[in-house]
Amino acid sequence: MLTKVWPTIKFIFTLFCSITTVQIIMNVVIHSLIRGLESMPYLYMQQILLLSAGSSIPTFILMQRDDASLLETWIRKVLHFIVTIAAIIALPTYFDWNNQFAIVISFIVVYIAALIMWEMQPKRLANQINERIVEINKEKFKP
Amino acid sequence: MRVIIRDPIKDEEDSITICVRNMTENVLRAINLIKSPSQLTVYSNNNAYILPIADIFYVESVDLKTFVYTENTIYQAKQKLYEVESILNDSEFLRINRQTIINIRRIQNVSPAGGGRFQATLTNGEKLIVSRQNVSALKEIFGL
Repeated sequence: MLTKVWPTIKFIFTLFCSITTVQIIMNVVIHSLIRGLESMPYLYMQQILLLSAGSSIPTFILMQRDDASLLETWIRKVLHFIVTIAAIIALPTYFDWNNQFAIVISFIVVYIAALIMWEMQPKRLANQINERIVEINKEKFKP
Repeated sequence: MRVIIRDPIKDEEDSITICVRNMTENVLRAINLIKSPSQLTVYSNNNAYILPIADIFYVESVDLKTFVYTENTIYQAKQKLYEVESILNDSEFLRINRQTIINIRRIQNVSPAGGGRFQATLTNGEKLIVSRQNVSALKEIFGL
């Protein structure tokens, strides 16, 4: 059980940290380097953390077992989109609609990170299986 | 565990004796491997052939017919796919989707095929899809 839960927790934590980092960098870039965006308020740390949590948690719904049924996959996808839309609406409301740009960027980061992870996980598994195949073939040809 | 292999005494029948205190999973697997039939009767052009199971690359069900694929030849089996599956050894053959059972010893490599599926490339270059539902069985058979 722990072997299935732990990678998911690690993934969500990585996602949370990466979104927080992107938002901090974005905050600095917007307010230090780009001129003419003075009307955009600073995001405080607690706001950044809230945005990161709001962006990471919906992705947690998509984490599932390898042998999950097609129905479960679709239920998870629908739930994910409902929660994501709720977060997109709720967070700008909380911030008085001033930071749509930051929120949109953070969600783009979430999706890119999730897509990369989805690409990486099967590749890692395929590599592990290929290593085992090589080992089996070595055993097969042992005298 | 010691493995003793000796030549049979004159007129003695070939036999295997397993002497263990605990019936572990590996021992059971070895027994299944020994007990499982080593040949399968298949048909091609109305001729029957005795095919060594180790030569099978994969078995596929198409339009309620069961086809047995070797490196270069396709045979037909009289049994249904699930019947062939019960004959084949569990530790060597794996159901990879609804229509196909694959000989894992003939897999050259696997690669992701999108949507949680994998593509298994056989040593003869054929490519087969491992469905998402069967990925966990694939992991298990390779001890992952």
